[in-house]
Amino acid sequence: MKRREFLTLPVQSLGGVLLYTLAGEAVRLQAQTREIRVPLRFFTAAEAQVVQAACERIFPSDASGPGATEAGVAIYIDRQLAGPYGSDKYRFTQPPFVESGPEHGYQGKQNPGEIYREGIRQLANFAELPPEQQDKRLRAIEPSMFFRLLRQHTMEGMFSDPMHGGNAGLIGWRLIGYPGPLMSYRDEIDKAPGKPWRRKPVSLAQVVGHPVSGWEDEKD
Amino acid sequence: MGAGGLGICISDFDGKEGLDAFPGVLRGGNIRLVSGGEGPIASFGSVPPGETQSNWGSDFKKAALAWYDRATSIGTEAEHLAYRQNFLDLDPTYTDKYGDPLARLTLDWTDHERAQGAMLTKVHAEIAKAMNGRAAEPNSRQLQRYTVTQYQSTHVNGGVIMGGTPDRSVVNPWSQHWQVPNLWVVGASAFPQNGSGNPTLTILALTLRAADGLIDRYLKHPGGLA
Repeated sequence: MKRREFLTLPVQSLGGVLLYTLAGEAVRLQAQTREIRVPLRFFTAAEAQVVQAACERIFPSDASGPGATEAGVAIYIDRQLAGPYGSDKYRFTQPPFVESGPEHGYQGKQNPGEIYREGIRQLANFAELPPEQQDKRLRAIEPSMFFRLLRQHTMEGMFSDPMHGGNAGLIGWRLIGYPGPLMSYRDEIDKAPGKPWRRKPVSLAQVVGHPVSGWEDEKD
Repeated sequence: MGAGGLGICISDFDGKEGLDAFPGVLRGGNIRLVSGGEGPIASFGSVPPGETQSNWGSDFKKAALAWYDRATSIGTEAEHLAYRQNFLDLDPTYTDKYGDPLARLTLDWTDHERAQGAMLTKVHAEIAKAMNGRAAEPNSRQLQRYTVTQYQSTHVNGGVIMGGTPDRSVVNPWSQHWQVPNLWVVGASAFPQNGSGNPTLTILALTLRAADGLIDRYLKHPGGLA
């Protein structure tokens, strides 16, 4: 049986919010080191460190607010790649695979999981580099499919519902003032004309009043 | 965030309206500004040109956060004319899991769609300016080639078009097949193309007309009604 791999995160980098998101998961809080160990579904621990470091450069924690590490973006990506998306369960993948123009979109044989595995290999020792070197490495792979996915998934991990493993404690939604999945804003429109409208964000689970799960949790 | 269908749509450049200053454009489109409730993933990152060099990193994040709920977009649904070279057929190579051929789409833009795009984005820019907005780069460059990588309105019509003569159409004005009188086809398949608005009411009207023809005439005297 495959040894379980974990992504180890310092608690202070998360502000404790990840504990809320991962309710129901076997999160182990190391009291002495103040670390939490999040079980991984797809990545090895080393791969998760590379992905987390890269996501952190794409959406950094800085003066303008928290970033990818606090939101748990690497955990979001790990879960997506372990689910039907990562193995292309619903994409048409019958051969022949033909090179064609950009207007046809991605026509390759590799599924997202394979694209990540190969991309991460090319970013070996990335997590140990200083930020400027990391940015340089990322700029060098910007046109690649791997980087395009990484950038897109970083935004998804920041701003999707926390049921998918990212946006821990609604940190991404609080950052942009997104209120969550409301049925209608009709009753709110006339309340404060000309002023920013802010409301405490709520997740889908909070709206419906029971736990919800994403397609990445689908069982075959 | 937004409020579902809340928005404004104008028809001043739709159909044959407002085309005088735009030679070469045969049909225009509606122009709309809606706050339809885009989600935070899709909306994040709309920033005016010059604000950030990259679409990732600290500068991008700062600009995208500043503009997140200060940006909007003006859009158009234009009439896409029917062309002989645009069609669906059965794919000669790829099959589905049952072994049946996939549908194959053959479609590209012509100079007419590019001229439509240029005309409508010019009007968009004037509207944005009048709103005191900082106009962004129009994205009608997408009309260089048709692409499946970006969603473009897909209200597909046609396939069983209605017409006045059997050599130019499949069904007659009663939605009845010209050659097979007991075959009636109702739906958006009757139109050679979509206008800029959706044809739901016209489909309902043609369906009622087909039902009238079927009950009042065909059932009494089966045969072609036209």
